[in-house]
Amino acid sequence: MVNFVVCDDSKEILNSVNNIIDEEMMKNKISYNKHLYQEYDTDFIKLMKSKLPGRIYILDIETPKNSGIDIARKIREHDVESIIIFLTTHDHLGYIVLKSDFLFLSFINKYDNYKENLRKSIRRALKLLGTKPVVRFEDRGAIYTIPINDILYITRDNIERKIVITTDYSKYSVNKTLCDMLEMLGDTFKQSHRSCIVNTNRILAVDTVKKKIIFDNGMEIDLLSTKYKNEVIAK
Amino acid sequence: MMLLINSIIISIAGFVVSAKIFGKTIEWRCKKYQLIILIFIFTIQLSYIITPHFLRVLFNYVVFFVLNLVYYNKKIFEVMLNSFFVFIITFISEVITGMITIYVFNIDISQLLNSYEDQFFTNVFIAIIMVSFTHLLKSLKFFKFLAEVVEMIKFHEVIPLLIIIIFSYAASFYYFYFQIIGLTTLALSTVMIFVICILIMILLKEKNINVRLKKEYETLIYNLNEYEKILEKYRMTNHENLNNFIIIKGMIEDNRKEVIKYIDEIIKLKKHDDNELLFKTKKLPTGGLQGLIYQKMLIMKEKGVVFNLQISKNVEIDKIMKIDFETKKDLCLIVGVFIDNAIEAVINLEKKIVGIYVYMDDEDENFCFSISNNFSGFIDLEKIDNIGYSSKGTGRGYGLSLVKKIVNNNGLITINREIIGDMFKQTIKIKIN
Repeated sequence: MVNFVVCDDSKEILNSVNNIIDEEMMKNKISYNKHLYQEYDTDFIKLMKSKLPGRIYILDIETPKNSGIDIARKIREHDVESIIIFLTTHDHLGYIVLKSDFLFLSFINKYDNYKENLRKSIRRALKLLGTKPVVRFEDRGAIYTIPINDILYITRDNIERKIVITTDYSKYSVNKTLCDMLEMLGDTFKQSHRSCIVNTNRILAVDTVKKKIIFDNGMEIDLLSTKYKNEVIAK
Repeated sequence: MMLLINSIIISIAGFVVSAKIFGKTIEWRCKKYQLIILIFIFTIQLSYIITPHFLRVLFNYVVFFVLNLVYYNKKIFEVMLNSFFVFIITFISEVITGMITIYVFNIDISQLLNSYEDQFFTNVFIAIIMVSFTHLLKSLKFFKFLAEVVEMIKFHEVIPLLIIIIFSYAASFYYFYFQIIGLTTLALSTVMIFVICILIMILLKEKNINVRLKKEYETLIYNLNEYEKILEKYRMTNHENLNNFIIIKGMIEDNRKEVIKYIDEIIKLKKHDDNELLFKTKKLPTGGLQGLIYQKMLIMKEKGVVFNLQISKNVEIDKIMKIDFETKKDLCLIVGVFIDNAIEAVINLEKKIVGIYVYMDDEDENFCFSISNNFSGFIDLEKIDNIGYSSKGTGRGYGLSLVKKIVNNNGLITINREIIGDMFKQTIKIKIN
């Protein structure tokens, strides 16, 4: 079940979004519900705090009383898996910052081919729903929210007694164990060595002779042991 | 008798040095002061009877510290550190005197110990060096600097070091001293002085950077208060200019299309470049913060950083203006450090993005100021507050340790850290009563 939560102070836009959702969902055999609001009122907040599954938010960035950015912050405080699409009235370079900060799917300009862009965004959102997009955990007061697919591998640092999460863009050192991470990340992650787990979705090739794992971004590691290689290859 | 005279000389010298370090005048006529000196003279005598050799220095240090604490009524840690410096000065003076005695006057240590007259002259000499050395340090403004450093140091960081130094010195010095091994005692004392000097230099170097950084930001905040006034005038002038351009445009005849086009470009540019920055920052409270953010946004613009200042509708300036001056100053300082770090973190990256988001939290109890930036490379949040820890190379990483100290001293401020994909976000929360 997909739940669309739409909020826009303009009735015309609200109706238009409503129709676009219907049109797109007709093409799929997925049951869906729509929750339409003209303001970020108490009913909206109540729904936001509920445990409704499969949420896709389509939100107006500015309503007379509230800001969609504030609402997005509140949504993300207790839900990192729902998908957020923003409707705006003008292109703004700074939105790129907010998109990264609050993990939004897209910003759609209401005056620039918005119907087509919204259709594309809904299609992307439906693909993403059902998959576990991000992992969130706390470590010594700091909160980590990492898109799972960005993680390449995780190694154990025996000297610091920590683990190091390697992503496309950086490495984080955290006080967790490899077992903790395996539990959090799910089936796509497999152990390749006693001190390493890898994201099998990101593996491009496995060289069993040289005991190397090559990832789709060109990165390589040599943490492949005989004991675990079959599990990695099988995936 | 000679022991008593020697104790009097050293006690008086000790309290003179102590008064100099505290920046106080010596009140010889004050009964309390006289009593404290007498107690110290008595305890020095007592220490020769009740304490073993190696504990004597520690015992005297504790008594000296307690007496100073009673008399000056200052913070425990401040008194403890100042007393420690009196002992260091005494120690240095003793070594200098020892060297002169042995090498200039050719007097053997054993001979010195057996002759009370020699001991008297030696102690007078030690006292003179102590007072002269203190005068020299005072003229170099060393103690003023020390007072600033003391403010920055945390009690538990230094106390084990002090105890180890005093105890190990006392133990080893007295061991060799009473074994009458003059040269070994001298060598040991010299090594100890070196060790202490190096330790102090390391300690002061780190703290000095923090003190300097704090001063820099405080000066900046002071200047920004003035800057905000200029900014307000600039806003008004800019607004007037914009209106004037629109009026002039209306007056120009239709056939002067090039002129109209040119004016349109100016209006568009003005609206895009100035108005957005100027009017967004206007929603922030004055008192340094507004000017600071405007200045940092101009820097980001110049450096090609994509930035976004988002101020929530729930931010009530009146409520924020009620925050006390010290907390506002601390907030400015932290925001300054965080934005500087954010700019530095993105400056060499292909994608350069910095976000500033100001809001009140759900219960409207906290004024929140969040600064985020993208990053690349290795990050260990556990070590990020440590002095000198930086992903940007050596000689860096002092800003966040300064922030840590400010947060520890201000109960109203808390810092939350978050990593969201390739974004590093720090949120400053200020409790509003």
